[in-house]
Amino acid sequence: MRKLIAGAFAAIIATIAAIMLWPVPDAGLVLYSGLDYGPAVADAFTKETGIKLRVVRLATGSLLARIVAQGNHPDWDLAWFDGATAAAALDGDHLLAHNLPTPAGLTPVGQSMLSADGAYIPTGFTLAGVFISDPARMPDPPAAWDDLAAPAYKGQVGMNDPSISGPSYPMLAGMLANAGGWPRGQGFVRALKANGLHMFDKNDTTVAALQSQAISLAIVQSSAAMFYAAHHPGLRVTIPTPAYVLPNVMVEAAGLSAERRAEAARFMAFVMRPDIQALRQAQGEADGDYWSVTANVPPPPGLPDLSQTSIATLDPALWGRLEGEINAWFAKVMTGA
Amino acid sequence: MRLMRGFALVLLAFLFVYPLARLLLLPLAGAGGAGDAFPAFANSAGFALLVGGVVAPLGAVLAQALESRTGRMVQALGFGLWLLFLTPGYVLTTGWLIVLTIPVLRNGGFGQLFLGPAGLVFLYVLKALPFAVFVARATFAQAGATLHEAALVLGVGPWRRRLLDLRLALPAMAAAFTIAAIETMQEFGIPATLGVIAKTPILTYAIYQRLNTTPTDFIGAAQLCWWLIASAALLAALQMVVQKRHQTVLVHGRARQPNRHLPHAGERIWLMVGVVLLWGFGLAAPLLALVAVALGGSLADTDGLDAVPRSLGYGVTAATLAMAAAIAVQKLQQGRALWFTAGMQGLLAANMAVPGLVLGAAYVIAFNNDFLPLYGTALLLVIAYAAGALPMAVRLLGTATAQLDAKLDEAARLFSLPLSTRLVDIEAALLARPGLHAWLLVAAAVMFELPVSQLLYVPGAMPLGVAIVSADMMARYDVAARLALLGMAALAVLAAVLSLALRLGAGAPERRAA
Repeated sequence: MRKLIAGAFAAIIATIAAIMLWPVPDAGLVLYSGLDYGPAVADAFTKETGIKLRVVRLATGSLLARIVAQGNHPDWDLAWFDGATAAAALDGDHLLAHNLPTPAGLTPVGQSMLSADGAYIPTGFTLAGVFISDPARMPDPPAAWDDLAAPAYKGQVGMNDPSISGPSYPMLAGMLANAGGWPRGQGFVRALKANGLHMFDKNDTTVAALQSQAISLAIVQSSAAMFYAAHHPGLRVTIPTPAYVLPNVMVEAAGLSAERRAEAARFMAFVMRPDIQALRQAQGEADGDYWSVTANVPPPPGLPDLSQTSIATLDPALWGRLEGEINAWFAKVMTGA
Repeated sequence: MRLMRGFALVLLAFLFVYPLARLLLLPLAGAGGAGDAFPAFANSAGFALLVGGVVAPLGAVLAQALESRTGRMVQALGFGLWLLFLTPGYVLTTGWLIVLTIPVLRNGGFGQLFLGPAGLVFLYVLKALPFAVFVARATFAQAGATLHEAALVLGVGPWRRRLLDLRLALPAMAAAFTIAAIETMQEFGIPATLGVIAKTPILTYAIYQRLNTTPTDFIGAAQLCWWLIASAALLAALQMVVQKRHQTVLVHGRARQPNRHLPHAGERIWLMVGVVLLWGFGLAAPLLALVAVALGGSLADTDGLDAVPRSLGYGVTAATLAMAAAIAVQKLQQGRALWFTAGMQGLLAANMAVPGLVLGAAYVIAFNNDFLPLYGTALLLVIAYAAGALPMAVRLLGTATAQLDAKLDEAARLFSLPLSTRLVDIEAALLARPGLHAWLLVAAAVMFELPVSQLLYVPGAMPLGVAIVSADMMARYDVAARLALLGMAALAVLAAVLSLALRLGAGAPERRAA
């Protein structure tokens, strides 16, 4: 009986191992997506063109770490995530292809986001940091970045940790840029810390703190704020002055074959089509709350018109180079180490 | 035989040592940024020692109760520990955060305490406790009734008998202390999810900072990993000393199980306190919160259901590989010089001390080239899972295999028993129970593993941990909760099936003998 059970156990394990480890044939493009709508768009592309596209869906920080670890031997073809600064940093490491096809019909804001060497293309944008607050606890929310350091908001403001939440770095960079750049802006961040700024790891814990009234105002990416406010109608979203643009960008791995590059170009054009942008906005969960960079696509319902808003764009090359230094400094300030 | 040993050694080195060594040697190639991390290291070391110090004796006491007492309270304790073990740390923490979205709870004294170092230590202890109990249970299960009977014949009092039991469990307690401390030092999910790192910096946070920021600072991360490895090596050395000095050996093949009896009045009180604490604070609060969230939608709306069987398959395969490697490590160590054993333990401690994201990056760097093009395959993912779980498997099996005297095998050879009988009816029969526990522990850990999965998963084949976190990222908490609960249910079914097989296997000879 024992030998029978041991034999059956071994046979089952061997069968499972064979099924799990059977090599997958190299099929089509590989897309690394840090955006919620990546898998849905990939499915639509395969359905329409027949070109297979396998997706790796990760948070932006883990996605970038995976790309950098692979170095010049990429296992990916396309990557799609929030943040031109991160794309500029990858380009600085010579990991990206250049001269990507410029999307057709770009708005002036979209034009301003193009990379000089074509290392990345903008596919839409959100705002790096907006204020979501609870009117019951904070009837008069701040309207500008400088207001956050006022005594009225002491101990009531929370934000994400830029070392863990990838898209939070551009928000921190925007804060610093607004306060005079780097390193002059350090004084403003220190003032926020002195005013009781809280730090949480990512959007979900920051807005959970808002929900439990541990804080009264959270500074998060506009897509997260709009999505959360839509599900909790009592909350209010304020777009600060100036609002820093956070483009969602697509990049291509360096050294792809001509055939792969042609397929990748088809995908880049595909994601900018109006019907596919509508799909992104409808099926993108929080990431679907973005503004288009092409003229023919309206924003999803609930997103405000930005024509009257003061919008600023960060220099991705400059702030991308500073990311490691600024994040390390910020962690030191926040933890008091 | 020498050739086989050499081959096993080379294979272990190639699969489990080379990738990590290649990454950890990066600091020799250039300077990184490891400065200013000493306060974080001091905090991490303090938490690790505290958690190890709490968990090791507590685990031994609970293990003794589970092996020598009976009744509903004991059953509730045993079941609760398994459930706790099956619940991943980040899921447990998320459950508590859901509970703490209630403003009265969060802003009161309990919430302030929980969202600080006290809550962190509580969650670390909860996660390490099942392992400490399982590893000590193997010792008590194999000790049999003889020792107790001898103590009774000699008139040894009840407290003295308990102390003798604890002394018997010293090697297991040392293993539990070491693993709990190392796991605590390299844990990142619980403190990050709890949001404690803003107030209390820890070493893994400093490492993740270097890996999650572009440009990624692998050299700085590797430098900080050396601090973790040095700490783990110290703890492993301590464990070796304790095991060498206090190891007991089972010299007969059939240990009579002690007669289990109902707990006395005093025991019943502390058992009840333990059960209430475990079920109330450890399990009910976070799991009920998860169940409530999971019921917010239907199973048909749950994306990524295929991740559950996939990760179960990965878990089963990686656990088998890790157990085979653990047995190979044990065999390689037998009769070898102290330096060899110490070296092997040091390498295992290094593997365990390194955070998952670093281990994953090490496998990418080592196997993503034209000579060893394993990156992007499920095989590399399973090897990396097994590498991460190998130190745990060695320690889980170690206390059990160390109690098997070599004379058992020699006696079997003298009687010319065939190899299959020696392996299945002697070694496997004696090791089946601790082996099953170890195998399940590894399979469960792999099933919910996150950082290695993030860096190594095959495109288009998302593992369960990544699927849960992706759902969380999209604010689909109901989907995340359903996936987590389904994964736990799948593991529970696997555990039940294996327990049944174990009972059938153990019962067969007795029936024949009767």
